[in-house]
Amino acid sequence: MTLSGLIALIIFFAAIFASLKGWISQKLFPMQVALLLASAIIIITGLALGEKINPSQIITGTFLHPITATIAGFILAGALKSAGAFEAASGWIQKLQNSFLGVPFAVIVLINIPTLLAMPCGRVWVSPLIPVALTLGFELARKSEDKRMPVIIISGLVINAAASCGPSLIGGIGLIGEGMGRYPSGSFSDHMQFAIMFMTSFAMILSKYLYNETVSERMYDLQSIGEKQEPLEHGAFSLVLFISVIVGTIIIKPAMPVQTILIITTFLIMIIAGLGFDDLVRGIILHPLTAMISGFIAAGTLSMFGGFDVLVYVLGYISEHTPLGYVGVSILLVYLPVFLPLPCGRIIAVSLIPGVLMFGEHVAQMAGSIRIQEVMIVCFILSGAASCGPSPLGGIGSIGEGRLRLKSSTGRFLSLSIFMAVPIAGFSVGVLGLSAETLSKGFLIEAVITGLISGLVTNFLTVKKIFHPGGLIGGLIVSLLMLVL
Amino acid sequence: MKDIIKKINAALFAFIVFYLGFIGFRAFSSGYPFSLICYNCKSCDSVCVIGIDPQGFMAASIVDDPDIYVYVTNYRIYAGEAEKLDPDMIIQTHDRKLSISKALRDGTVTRDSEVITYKMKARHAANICIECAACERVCPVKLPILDVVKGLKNKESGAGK
Repeated sequence: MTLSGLIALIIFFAAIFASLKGWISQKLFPMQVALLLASAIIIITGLALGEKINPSQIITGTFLHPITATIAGFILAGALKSAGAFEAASGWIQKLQNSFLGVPFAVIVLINIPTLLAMPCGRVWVSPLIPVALTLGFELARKSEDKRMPVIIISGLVINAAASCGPSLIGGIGLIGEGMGRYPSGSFSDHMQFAIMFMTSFAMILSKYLYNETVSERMYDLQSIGEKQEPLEHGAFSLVLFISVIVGTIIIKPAMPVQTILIITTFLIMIIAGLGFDDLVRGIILHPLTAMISGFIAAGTLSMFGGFDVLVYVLGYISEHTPLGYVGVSILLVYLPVFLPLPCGRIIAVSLIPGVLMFGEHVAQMAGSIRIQEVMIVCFILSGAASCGPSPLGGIGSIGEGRLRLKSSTGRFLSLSIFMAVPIAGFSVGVLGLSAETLSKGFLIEAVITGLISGLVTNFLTVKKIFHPGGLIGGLIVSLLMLVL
Repeated sequence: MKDIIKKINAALFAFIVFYLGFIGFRAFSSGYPFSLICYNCKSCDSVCVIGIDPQGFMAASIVDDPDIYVYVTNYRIYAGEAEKLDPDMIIQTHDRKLSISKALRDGTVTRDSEVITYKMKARHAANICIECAACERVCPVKLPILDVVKGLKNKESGAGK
């Protein structure tokens, strides 16, 4: 443990905590600036203490993959928006609602798409799906006269998208944990996906019964104006192309970066719909990108001075000298990303994976079961992946709140849904273990139970008939597809 | 927002954008721009028998710096040799991770002790790589990792790429 590492750790957490609590006003110094200034202070302090600085070591802390995937996703979302794909999707949702499967089917499929077709960053799906979710939410609100319906649907979609980078087989956080821990590739994915379905249901229930703010009347008027717009000519084709490409990528897993695939799809849509480059800009949201980059710079600086090593040392000290012990500290460690929710879960999660593996090993040795290490790492990664949802510093949740013009934050409920769902992933790992073989009896049973419970919850929240076929069939289809894809 | 605060914020946001562009520039100047594609998924890490994290070679290319430290967690070397190669090399001993020079100074190990490495410079890790290509086979985007390893070996000897 080094003094510079300890000071770096204190400065880093102080900057995050102060930003979260509003002591550093976001109007004065946004999160990005606070993190950069903290990094500068850490470097100056390190130099004053005689430490060697290697700027390259800071840069290696920046994970380009989620950043470039998010940029590519935003560009594609801009093309889809300009081509009219969202209007086409709204039309399809309308038709689906009028079928015998009805609204519950449409809702459960829509809100689980980000985890079903998991991308390296949930924002890739949030951009194109939020307008569709809003249409569905407002439609439901008119039918059920429950003005919280848009909030309920968006909360479900947001937490599902936020957590989806955990199980993504295209460079998700789960793959990083599998690689570092030398577990079979893809073995974390199903456990996390089923837990995320529960997380989504929890978020929707909590939003319905504990969130008091409703969407203003003005938003209904704005939404109606939006819905009256004529669908654009190439909207449906663009939408089909987009869905086919994503599904194909997930199934075939070509040896081509997902960013390239998204950009090629963008160019195809541009040609088909006659779009210009200006049309692409509509989808780009700079805030989460700059927040992620500044977070990575800060984490890289902290890592260079051994700050994360100090954190692991401190946690070990607390484990050995307090009544919490290794088990208590392990639980705190698993939920640490939720206590300090940053705009990207990778900022803290990836840096702490070695520490979690080490802790898990200690607890496993004491308990005499290697499975405990597996449980800890899967739970930690899920917690880290989902933590960007409730982050008040440019997390995915704030995108939904912004679109609905909500004054109060949904962060507490999203955090609570994470707390409730993470143990489910742990239980799944504890019972079924880690394996690359997913078509086993155990997983099949888990898929059926998860699909049915999610379906029951969706039925109840949307149409108040818990045995409506739409939710049950939709839930089963989603959960079984998660097993296969 | 006051003018001065606006200027500070705008400058730092511009720095973030510049930083991203700088990373791209460095990757191109290293001669291995494909390193930008790396998913950082650690699939390669799980298959290396020497315990090298091959993603570290990609990181070294992105920053065009052969002296960044990468994980090498399963390689045995004599303490004296390790210190001669790099006094700041991190080793694992008695449940601790510390630099080889510190370990020798403290008497934790002697020059004839065999130690297990933890982190070493990318160019040193490239020299011990046995080029089995297991990492390339599992890479989801099939990056030519060995091309980078060979380039780093050449950097060690001072020869060109």
